[in-house]
Amino acid sequence: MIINNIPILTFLVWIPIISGLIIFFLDKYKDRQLFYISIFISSLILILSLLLLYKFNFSSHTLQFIEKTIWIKNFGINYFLAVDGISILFILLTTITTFLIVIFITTEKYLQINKLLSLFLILEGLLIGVFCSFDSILFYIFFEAILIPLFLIIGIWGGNNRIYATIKFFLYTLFGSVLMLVSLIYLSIQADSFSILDMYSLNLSLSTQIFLFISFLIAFGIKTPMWPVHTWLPDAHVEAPTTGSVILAGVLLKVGGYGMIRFLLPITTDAGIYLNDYLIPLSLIAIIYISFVAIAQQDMKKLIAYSSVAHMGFVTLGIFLIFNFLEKNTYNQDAALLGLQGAIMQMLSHGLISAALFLCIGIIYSRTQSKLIDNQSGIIQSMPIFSAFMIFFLLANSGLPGTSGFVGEFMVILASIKANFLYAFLASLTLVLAASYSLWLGKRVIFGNPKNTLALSEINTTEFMVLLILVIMVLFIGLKPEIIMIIMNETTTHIINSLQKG
Amino acid sequence: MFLISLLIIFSPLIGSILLLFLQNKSKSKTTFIANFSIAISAVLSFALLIFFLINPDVVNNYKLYTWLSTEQSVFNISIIIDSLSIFMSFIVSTVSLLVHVYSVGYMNKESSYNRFFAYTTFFTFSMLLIIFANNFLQLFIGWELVGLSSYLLIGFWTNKETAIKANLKAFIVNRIGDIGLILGVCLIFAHVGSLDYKDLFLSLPELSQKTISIVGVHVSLISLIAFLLFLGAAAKSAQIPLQFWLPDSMEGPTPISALIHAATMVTAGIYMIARLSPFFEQSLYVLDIILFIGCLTAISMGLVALVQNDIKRIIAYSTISQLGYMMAALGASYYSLAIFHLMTHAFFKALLFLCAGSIILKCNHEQDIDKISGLKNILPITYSAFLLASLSLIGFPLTSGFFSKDMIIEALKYNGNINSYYILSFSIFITTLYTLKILIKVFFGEQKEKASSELEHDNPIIVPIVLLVIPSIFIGLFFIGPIINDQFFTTSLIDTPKTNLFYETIVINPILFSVHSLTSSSFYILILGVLFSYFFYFKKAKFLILISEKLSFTKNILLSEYGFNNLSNIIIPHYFKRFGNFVWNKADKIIIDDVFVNGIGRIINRFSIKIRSLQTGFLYHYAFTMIVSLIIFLLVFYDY
Repeated sequence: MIINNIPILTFLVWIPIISGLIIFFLDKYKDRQLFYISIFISSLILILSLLLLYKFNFSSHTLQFIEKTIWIKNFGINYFLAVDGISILFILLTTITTFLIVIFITTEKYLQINKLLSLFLILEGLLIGVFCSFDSILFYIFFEAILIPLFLIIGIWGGNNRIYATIKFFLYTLFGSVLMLVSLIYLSIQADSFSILDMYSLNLSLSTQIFLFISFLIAFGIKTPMWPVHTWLPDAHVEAPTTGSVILAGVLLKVGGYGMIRFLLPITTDAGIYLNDYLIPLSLIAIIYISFVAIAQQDMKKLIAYSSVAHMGFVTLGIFLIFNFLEKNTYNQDAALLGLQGAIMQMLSHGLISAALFLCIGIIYSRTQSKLIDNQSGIIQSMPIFSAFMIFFLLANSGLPGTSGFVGEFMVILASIKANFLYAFLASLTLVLAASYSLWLGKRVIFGNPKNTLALSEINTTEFMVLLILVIMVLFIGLKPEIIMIIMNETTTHIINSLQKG
Repeated sequence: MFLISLLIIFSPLIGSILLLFLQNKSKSKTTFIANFSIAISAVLSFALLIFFLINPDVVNNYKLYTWLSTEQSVFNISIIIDSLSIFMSFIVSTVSLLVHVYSVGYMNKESSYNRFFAYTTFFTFSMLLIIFANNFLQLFIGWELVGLSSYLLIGFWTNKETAIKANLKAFIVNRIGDIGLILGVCLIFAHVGSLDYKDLFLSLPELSQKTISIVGVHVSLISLIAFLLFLGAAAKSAQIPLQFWLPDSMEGPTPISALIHAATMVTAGIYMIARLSPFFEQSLYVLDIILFIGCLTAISMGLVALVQNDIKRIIAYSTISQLGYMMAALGASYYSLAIFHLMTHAFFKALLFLCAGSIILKCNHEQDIDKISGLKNILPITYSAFLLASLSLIGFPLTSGFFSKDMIIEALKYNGNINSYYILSFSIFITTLYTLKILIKVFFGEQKEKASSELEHDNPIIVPIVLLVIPSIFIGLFFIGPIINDQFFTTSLIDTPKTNLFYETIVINPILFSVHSLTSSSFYILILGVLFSYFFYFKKAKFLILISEKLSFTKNILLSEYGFNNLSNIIIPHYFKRFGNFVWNKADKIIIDDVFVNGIGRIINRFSIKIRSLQTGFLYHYAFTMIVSLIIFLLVFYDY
């Protein structure tokens, strides 16, 4: 078959980037034509990624669809793309989210729509690139390049205070990644190769590992974001346009967790085990403290942004628990695996749910021109269908079983109780806290009597379809998480097994 | 049997999904789908119940699908069919069916008629999911889904401020219990390696040896798990100190109060503990706690019911109090008696609520019993039904409530729990008072409206009320033998020998038990209660009223529900918000953002301003610096 021979990953990365660059200069076309072009491209990419899933061999943990050619010969840097059971999930998350964003943009009014569309397509290509690069320099380039389109999206189409937010966001993340670059160069000198896989087999001294660990932790921790380096996120979200928030919460934050699984976990295992006692409290603080901060918010977007930080606390908790289970006296391979799988599950679920919630807030904003909770009330009286969607996503956000929000949290709590009852107890406080901030938001915004008599217009078909797709996926993962498990099981098991060296 | 049980569980779900997609279609279609889907469940449950009355020993487990599989364990969605689950599904689906029929009349004028039935059918499905669960995962899923349905239904009138407050409160309080439940479930998984009830029971001998250390304190693992699970049960079944959400939940439509907050959902906690009886039996400490909490709830919430004026709130407090009886029975290891009382209570309490609904409808949504009076001639059918349900509630001999409640009290005495025996006996007095208070105030006294020759309500409202009278009065007499004596629950509950012994020594047969009860203290307390309320509420005897006025301090305590109202409505939310604001403003904004993030920016800025003054642009400044540095370098690095 022809499909077997095409470089599908190269297509996935470069088609959106190149077409995005072309669209960037199509100033003279009408909006409608631009929409058709970008919907076509994003659906093409979605289909390609589904094809990737279809061709993917679930029963193998090795890298698949490998594309490896020499890129910079003198330094031994390769153009090395491949996927395994983890990256394929994130590629799908990216393609689906971008597809929904491109469709959703058609319902909103933006200036210079071609530029916005093109930036989203470029961002899609770069994100896919991050998730399938296995050469560290290539990874780093994609990782850094993501900042540019997002910087522009927030900086151009953002709110009033967008300049402060973009500078903060940019410097914060750049600060982290510079440290990472140094670490990557150090590692590549040690391994005599830029391939990430070669770095896995290095035998590094504990002190070296600790330095590397901290620099990776700062890089990915800021991206995730972890407490206490999370303060760029609420500002960026508040200022970002709706679709910018969607890609930021839906996919971009997952780069941090993905990076931790790719670098932190296998390369600096010993350091992780050594530092483990300081790491888990960081995640628990994120879960509890940030939830309280979320309760206090007045701005809907800030609330969901803080709730994202709290949810990502489960991701880091799941990952750091692995180190705990690799220690000699608490060695437990099954629990470590549960932690890893839980973290990935939580990332995927959060990607869908937070994306949906930001879309919901965007829909409200487009009708009431305000993101403040106090300015909203009784939306259900004029927008019953929309309200049903929003309540559904708020419930999913509070981890209702049957939705995807429950699965990851449940798995991480299951793993944490094997480490320490106290961890599990503190983590499970999220049941109450997440319900408090999510449903209290619902009570104030959705229910009650409308403040202004002005009737808001019900969501249109496009918005309805976008939200419906998200509902279906959230329910699907919630009712049958086994599907995700089948895709990632071999890879995650292999990762945990190979960590035994430490 | 697999197919039948699937139909029982999923027919309400299918009904609910159909209703969801039938938005704004005709009312008759909605009515048909909702009632038909529940009727399937009810009829099939009834058929299976008859089958189980003949063969109580059958136990079947069926797997539906794999929810998630990990290296260590497989989480399945599967169902258990045994006498207990069928018995419960009979109660739930029957009450649900009758409430659905009733709602057709009650909710007739609502614009969101369709939405209401979509929720109620979904609730029935989630409740059945709990009942048929054979593992903790499914239990937890169902547990949260009934919480969700309750949340949606309490807040059904979305523009009613009190209702949307109450539903938030109900959901969050239930979530507090869920913390206990999920931690218990996770502990079980960590130590058993599986979430199936069966595996838990098999590994009990092993578990009983284990201890776990929490912050340095070693506690018995089984006790800890049992306590955590009980926490979940206490929240769902509204036991002290997590009871305060239930009275507020009365803000929802009355049929919902009957179905969810009286007959079915609130009994989920009782059902769970009974279902896990082999496990709870291992932890006598926790059973003692359950007994204590049960008795405490039974009496203290009964007292609160005395000072309430809202008819629905009185019945709600009564529900909490009756749930306390069930908890007490569980605590004394009489699991079958708890389930028996659960059943009779489900019927007579649903009936009381439906009657209350009928009264409220007639009085234009007035719920204050001080403002309602003399309805005896206006609502003759409701009056008789309410009277009979009240008799059952106060435990008048030969009614359903009598058999189930008096047996719990007698069993406690027989078991040697004398304190609990006295407390629960005294509670009968209080139960009698508040029940007759409603009866006398609402149905007797000055008649405010004219009696008309018309029917009091349409058939959909009257028929369920009349039908519910039958089980409220007779089902106790019918089931007492099969359930308590005939080893109906042998395979699912472990108290069969104990209850059999109790039955043979104390009860002997229903008629003898009734005769015997005429000489028991509980009967005298009942008579005393009736006389007291007759003089107090009906004759309005002066000295009693004087006494009650002297007790206004006590009344205030009771009105505030021992401070729980204040705590849950004002203090806790206030401190939550304050703490949230504190960490946001102080820690996030000032320390992290201002000191560190912007602070670093400021330092760099200041530093660069200083540095800038070095860049003077004069050549001789640079030359001077170069020469000075050169000299320093030479001095430092010169090889002496």
